[in-house]
Amino acid sequence: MREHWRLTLIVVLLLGFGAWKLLGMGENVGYSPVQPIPFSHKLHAGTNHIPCEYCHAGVDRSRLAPIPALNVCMGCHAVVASGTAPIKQVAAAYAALTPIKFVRVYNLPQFVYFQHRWHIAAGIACQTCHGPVQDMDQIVQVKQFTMAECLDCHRNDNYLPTPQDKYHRDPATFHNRPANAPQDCNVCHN
Amino acid sequence: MGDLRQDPAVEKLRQEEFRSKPQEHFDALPQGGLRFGRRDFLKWSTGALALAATACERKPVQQIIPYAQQPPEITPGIANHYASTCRECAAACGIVLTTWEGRPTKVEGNPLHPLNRGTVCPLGQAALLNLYDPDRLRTPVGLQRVHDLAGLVGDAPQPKYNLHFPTNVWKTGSAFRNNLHPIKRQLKELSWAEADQQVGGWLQGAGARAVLVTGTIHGPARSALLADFLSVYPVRHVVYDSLNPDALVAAQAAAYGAPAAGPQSTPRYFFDRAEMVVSFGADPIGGGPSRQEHAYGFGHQRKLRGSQMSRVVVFEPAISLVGLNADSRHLVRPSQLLPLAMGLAHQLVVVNQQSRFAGDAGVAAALAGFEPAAVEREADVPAGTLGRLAGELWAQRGKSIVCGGGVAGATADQQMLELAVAFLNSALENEGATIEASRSPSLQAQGSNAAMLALIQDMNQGKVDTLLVYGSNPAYSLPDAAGFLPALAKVPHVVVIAERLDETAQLADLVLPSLHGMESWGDAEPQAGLYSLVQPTIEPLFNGRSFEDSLIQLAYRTPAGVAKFTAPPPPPPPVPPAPPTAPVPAGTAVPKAAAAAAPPPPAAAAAPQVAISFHDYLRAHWRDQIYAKSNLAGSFDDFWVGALQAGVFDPDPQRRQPGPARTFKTAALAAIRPTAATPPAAGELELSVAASPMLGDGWWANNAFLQEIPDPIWKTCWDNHFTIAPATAKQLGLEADDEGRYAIAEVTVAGQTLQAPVYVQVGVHPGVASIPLGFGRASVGEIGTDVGANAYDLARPAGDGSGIIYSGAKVKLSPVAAGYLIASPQGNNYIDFGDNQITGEYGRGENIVREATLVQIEANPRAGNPPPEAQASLWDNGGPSEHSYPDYHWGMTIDLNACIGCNACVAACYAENNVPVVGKDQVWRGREMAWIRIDRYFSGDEANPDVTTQPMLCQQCGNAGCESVCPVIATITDAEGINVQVYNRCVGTRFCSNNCIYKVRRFNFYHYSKVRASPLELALNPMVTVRSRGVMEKCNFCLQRIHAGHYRAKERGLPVRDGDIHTACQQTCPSQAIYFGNMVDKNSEMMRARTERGYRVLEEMNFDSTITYLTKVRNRGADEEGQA
Repeated sequence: MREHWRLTLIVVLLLGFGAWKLLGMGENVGYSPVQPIPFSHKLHAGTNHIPCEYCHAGVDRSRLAPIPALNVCMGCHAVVASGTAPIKQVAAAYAALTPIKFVRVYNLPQFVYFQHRWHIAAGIACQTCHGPVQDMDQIVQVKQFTMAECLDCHRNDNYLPTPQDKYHRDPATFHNRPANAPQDCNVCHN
Repeated sequence: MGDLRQDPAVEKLRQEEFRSKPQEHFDALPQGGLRFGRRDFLKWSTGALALAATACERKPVQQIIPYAQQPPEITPGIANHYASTCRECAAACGIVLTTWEGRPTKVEGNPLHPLNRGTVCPLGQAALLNLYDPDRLRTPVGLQRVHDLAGLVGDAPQPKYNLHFPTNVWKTGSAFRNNLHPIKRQLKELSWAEADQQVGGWLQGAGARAVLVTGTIHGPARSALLADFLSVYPVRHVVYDSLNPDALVAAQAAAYGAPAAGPQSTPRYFFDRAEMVVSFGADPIGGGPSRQEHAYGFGHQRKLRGSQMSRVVVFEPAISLVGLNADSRHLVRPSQLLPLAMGLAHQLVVVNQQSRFAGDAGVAAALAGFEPAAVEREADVPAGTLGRLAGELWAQRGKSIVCGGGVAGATADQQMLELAVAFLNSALENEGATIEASRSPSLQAQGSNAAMLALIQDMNQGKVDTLLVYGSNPAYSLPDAAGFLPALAKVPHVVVIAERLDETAQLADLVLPSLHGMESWGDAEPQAGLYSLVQPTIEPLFNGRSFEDSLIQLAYRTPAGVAKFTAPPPPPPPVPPAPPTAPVPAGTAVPKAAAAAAPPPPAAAAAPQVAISFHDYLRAHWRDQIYAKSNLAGSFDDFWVGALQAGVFDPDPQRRQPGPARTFKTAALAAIRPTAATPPAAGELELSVAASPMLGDGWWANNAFLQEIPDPIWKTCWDNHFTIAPATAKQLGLEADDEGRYAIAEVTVAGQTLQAPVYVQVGVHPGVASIPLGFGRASVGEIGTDVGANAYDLARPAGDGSGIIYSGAKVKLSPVAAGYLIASPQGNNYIDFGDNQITGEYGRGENIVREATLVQIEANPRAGNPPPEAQASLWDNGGPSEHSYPDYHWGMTIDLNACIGCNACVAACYAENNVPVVGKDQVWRGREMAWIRIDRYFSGDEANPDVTTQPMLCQQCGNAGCESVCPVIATITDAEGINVQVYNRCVGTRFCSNNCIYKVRRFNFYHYSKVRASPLELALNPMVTVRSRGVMEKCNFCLQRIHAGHYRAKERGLPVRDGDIHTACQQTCPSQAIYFGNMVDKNSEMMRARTERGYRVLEEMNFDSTITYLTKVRNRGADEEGQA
């Protein structure tokens, strides 16, 4: 009987551990893969204060935050630090027109249609979701990209319309309602 | 109809919702194999959970691959739109292509194009599947020529079965066609250089004994290039399409003299000006050379304007798409069409003494043999029909169109019928008012059966050494009696330029892959004086080369060609990069392989010379011919960019209006003589062939959308069949059995036999068997090969070689097998009336489809549309839902009067919303996935019923039945009143579908979306989730388009305006029967369309749907008194 107890306890503990791991599956917090080129956000966005949107151009117009093409890199690096090994690697790839294959860090399921553009328009800083990118040599995921995280913001009526956001500032168009973010399923799930 | 009679089988289906239950599938699994019960599942899942605990953290390693050199016009995640011209058929409608990162995902009509005015037909909507078709030919190939036809006979193909696409294979008339299959052929892959060398050598060797067969080609630069090619090689050019207007062209020439715009121009019909349409067997909106233009005009005239709408009278053997919309339809045998048309002329000119021909002795003599009363008696049409019709037509003279012929009317008398119709149009003063042929005729159908038959004769006599075929498939569409196949065996060299290994390509020595219209440059001139451009929107997917570039490369092998096509020295001036406003994918101009293949010219200069690309040729031609002659301000570059952006250049719209009326030569009428009607023997039927409104002439048979979307009339899919009337079926013993399985019958015409299933449905003359063309392809690809029977086999050339006769043969249906299943989605969606039948004069379907006649509507706008009876409600307030929608509440109004049943909306929805295709077996089981369907309802006389077509989609109910039964709240109403389906939350209980009274929810029983073969996945809309197995889906009013509308509004800083958002179905509807808009805005076009005719389907169920339908109105005209 005692042995049965022990066995049951082990199985229950194992199952509990499994369930806990399963629930956390896909969160990927702390994920920080090595990229094919040692690109440092700390150097670019931190030390040199290059705005995020300089390279990730189109993030204010697209649902995606486009990874810059090699011609964007070479726009500066044709001159800047052109002698270093990583830049030589980029220049060679650009000359051969072979794209560099980065490893994806932030991964939303394909049934989620997150729109970068409206979050940028609402004045949300990139760091709100992506963490202190300007301090990272290698990008690491610091937040869970789960629906709960999304709704945590969308449920708080903490959105202050930016001066550019005519739509939400106009009482005529928005009926003077508090400008909280939408929570309908179909906002993200098409 | 089983519904009407309350057949037990139908009642069973109504109760059970699906034909098969999942348990049956598992029971059918082989015994002793893997049996996986509930207990096994629990055991395994425990183990899996324990294993998961020990596994490492999941890191699905995915890659992000940015551009190396990003094109300036592309931002990932933002769609680009390009104007182009549809190349699926020669109608050449204007289209706008939506592309995402260089891949087109949606075809829409170009609103600037005067032909289709923003709409596209179902074939155009499905065009993406042709572009991304995995069965396209990928590289030039050489084949072992098949000379010994007999050797192939008897080597029957094995039936192919797989999970989702079971195909049906039985012997068709031609054993030869049955036995050609790509798998059996040894293909030798060639480089373009090798292929060009071989073809060029053959062309040079053949000299004047070479023949180029093409389909219809129009467009200024394309025509000029063809002329240049023909000047380099003394090649004879034959134009042959599957269906050709020989009879029409000959009749027009006899009636009006040789056409000014060339021998192969045909009249244009202005359906948007026709208050009355009379058709003798023709189907101008379901087929023919310019169906979408006609459908647009026809559909708009069907709308009720005040108390006015067009009147449509149709004489036909079996319902066609125009017959579906007829106010008065008369079912007649094909052989009676000519006497009826002549009888109508007799009534008008001789009896009524109207029109300018009244009193003309010659005309009276020609019409003498067609006494209306005798004609009506012979055709079994109610007495007085022609008298009333002539009176109505005369009252609408100059505002009517009489059309005739088509495939159904292509009997031995087809030319006479076209002549009679031309006479009627001239007598009714429609010539020059609704019909134009003098200044800007149609160039959309230039093929000629007669020319092809003459060519076959020459081939047989050994006068042809090299045959080059492009855009034409005579081995499929010519009947065996024409003798094309044996004649082809006598031609030493056959080269086919085609997108796929079609039937003709199978018989060639060499096949060169051409490009799809979305990959190539080109232009079009569908009507004289109307120009449009084709621009590529994607790099060629495979190692293909456009037909035009192939012509240039072949011509470049001769000194004359070098003189014509050498690129200007020094190296061709770089085309300035197009400004971002008119982006043009770079690099499409010359396929690399083609450029590499260009040989050094004989008289090589020091600098290497290369042939120009067709893009350069096109641009130069437009500069020198079109721009230079148009007296435009601004540079050519500005003009070119503007023309590319607009997609169309219409220099003189006024000139394309109906020109002066041509004079009818009455002497031509004397050729029409009444023939002594031979009554069919007992058991004999008259054959009536029709062009399928979905598959057309068969060119698109490998398109899964077009195969799966049911035929608008018969509502069957993945099949064609002889259709006969119920009475005839009873008489011949060909009725469906108790299980709803049909017989397969054999028909013999002039020695050619064809086997096909026999479908029994109302709407066919009892003495007629009707069968559509376009099926039975022997070699087209995985989807279309061996689907259905090839009805071209039942055609035969006319004795004098003037054309091909399709209909009118006397046939016997002899049963050869029984028990054949026909998949019909209409039969899958029985709506349960329950106890909610409204009794009284309207009967059973009254709460779904409502109809009235124009006279009734004039007297009472709510005619046929009684207010709903109050019913009990689950909700406390007893009425509409309690949600409030302060800003937006999306709704729809659908005008049943304007719906012509063409299926364009269905195809648009498939393309927009990534709706999967499931195949015949699954459709039969009731698992088709269409989010919108066209339901067809019969009413009135069972032998010749009225038809109503009703687009049925999710009604976005306020009190949705689906929502209250979902255990996981995967379907809910959002803040704008849309009933949304959250796929990632759905667990697939199917309760919602069971509780939906409209039967519009669709369940993924299998992983249908995975059935797509690469590269078909490129056609998917990236803004719509691809659903997986076990998930329910349904219409959501094109949520992604509503989002896009909101985004545009946000950018403007203003609310969404009326007309900002169009759903995919609404956008492509040729008659704009679908209105979509905001129900909060009472002034929106959608709300204004809700007149007294508005009703909601099954309103008494209190589901509070947001779609309002408008009562179908029938304009009975003078027939109304006759019936009353």
